[in-house]
Amino acid sequence: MGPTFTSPARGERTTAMLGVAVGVLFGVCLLTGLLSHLIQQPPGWFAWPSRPVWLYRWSQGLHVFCGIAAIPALLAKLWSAYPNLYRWPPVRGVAHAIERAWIVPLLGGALLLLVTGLMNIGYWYGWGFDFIKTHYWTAWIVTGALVVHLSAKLPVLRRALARNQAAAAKAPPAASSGAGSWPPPGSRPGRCCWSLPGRRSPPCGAWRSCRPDARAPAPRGCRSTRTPGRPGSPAGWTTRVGGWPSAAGSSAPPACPWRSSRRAWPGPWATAPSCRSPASRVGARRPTGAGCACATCWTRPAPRADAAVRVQSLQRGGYSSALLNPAHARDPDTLLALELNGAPLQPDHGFPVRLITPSNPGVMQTKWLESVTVL
Amino acid sequence: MSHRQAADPPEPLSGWRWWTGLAVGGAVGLFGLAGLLRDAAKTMPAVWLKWLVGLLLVHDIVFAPLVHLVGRGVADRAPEAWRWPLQLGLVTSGVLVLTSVPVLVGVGRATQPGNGSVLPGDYPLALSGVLAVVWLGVLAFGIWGVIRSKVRATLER
Repeated sequence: MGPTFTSPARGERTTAMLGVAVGVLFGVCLLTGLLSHLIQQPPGWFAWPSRPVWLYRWSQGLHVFCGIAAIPALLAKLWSAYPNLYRWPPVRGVAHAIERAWIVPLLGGALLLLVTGLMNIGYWYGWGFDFIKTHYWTAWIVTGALVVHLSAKLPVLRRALARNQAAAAKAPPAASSGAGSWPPPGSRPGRCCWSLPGRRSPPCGAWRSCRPDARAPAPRGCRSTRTPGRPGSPAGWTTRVGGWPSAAGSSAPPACPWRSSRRAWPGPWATAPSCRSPASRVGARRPTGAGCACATCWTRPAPRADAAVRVQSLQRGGYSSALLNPAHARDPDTLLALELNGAPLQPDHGFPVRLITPSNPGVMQTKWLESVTVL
Repeated sequence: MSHRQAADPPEPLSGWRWWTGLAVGGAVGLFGLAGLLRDAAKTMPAVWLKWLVGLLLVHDIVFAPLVHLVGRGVADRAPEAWRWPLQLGLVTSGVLVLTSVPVLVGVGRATQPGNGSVLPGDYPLALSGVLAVVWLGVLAFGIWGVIRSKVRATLER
């Protein structure tokens, strides 16, 4: 004897429309997730541009935004389709059995993606498996299951959408003129909506006290999500430089020892005027937080037009090195940062030198550089 | 089947769209499964399967029946004017609490000991504030519904 379902909100149309919402949200998550995967492990045909500087941040903000929005959407979808769990007989033939079997990886995988993704936001890894690899492969499994489910439910979906169109046609003009009222990107509300993904704090100043960095005792007022993995003073570290073109006939030094004084970087490195620019310009390249400014960058001579650059951190393990494609290597806002807000970097921020590149993942802004090699 | 509202009528699974979708979706899904098994050292398929099936069971056996029972309780016992505000408030609060669990628990702080910028917010306070706004809205809509129904009853008399 099954339960009694009496809610008038349940039904084919509700389920179909919620299904469309979940499909769109998961689709955006898949595309933005794949983008991040391609940037971090680029195949030969893929080159991620360094401009516009906000593009990566925005795409990943959209990933998180849609992922969190998918939680209530998926739960509502499951609620609306819940009576189907008690349908008897559970399967009616081979094709139906196949379709229902694919629901297990679809729903289980979707729940797994959302739960582990949410826990990842809170740095909570309460499972044994590697989050990134598992999230990536599960996303493919869920995508496949979603395609199977969609092909099975296409007639239902078409019927629901046709009913929606008929209802819209019957509606009075005043009501129907609001259809598709998603704020256009050019309008003020549109600009506000489209700029929300990737923002670190609410746009409203009244919420300032709730901003995370307002409460954090972060070094030099800038957030840091990775502390140095090895103890001891890094004052004696040496950063090796290789493959750099010579400047004015002199070859680049093979190694750059760090001293306690600022701007101790010799050789082809220079402090460019643009690196000491007003805050508005600095604001375009501040991946570590508001108020951060870096003062030294590689400028002259620039790497060859087709040269990539590999940086290696003293820290070992995941994310210990990053490969800059030519666009990022030659971007004037790509920095080997020595300072933060006018003082040498603190260990949490990558002392003595770290990489800062525009529109790249945080995990590629390598800290505690051991070597910089032009390839 | 005892429930009054029948489940949606099943669609016959046939035609080229179904079989093409099954072939394409099946290939994509198997690609993902093959990758998961190939990277077994990192993905730990047995643990992964436990989580996948476990989450599904928790939803179907615990979460969904609980929501169903609470929804029925509100629908049967709450006065009509309060019904939808209460349902909306409960659903919104449930989603907010669920999505806040990782930061409320704060296990992530242990991953970077001494780093104050990992989970730096006062999340219980933030959640309490949002929930207060939600339930003030419930209260406002509920009172508005009561007043409206009384005015309507008076006018009809």
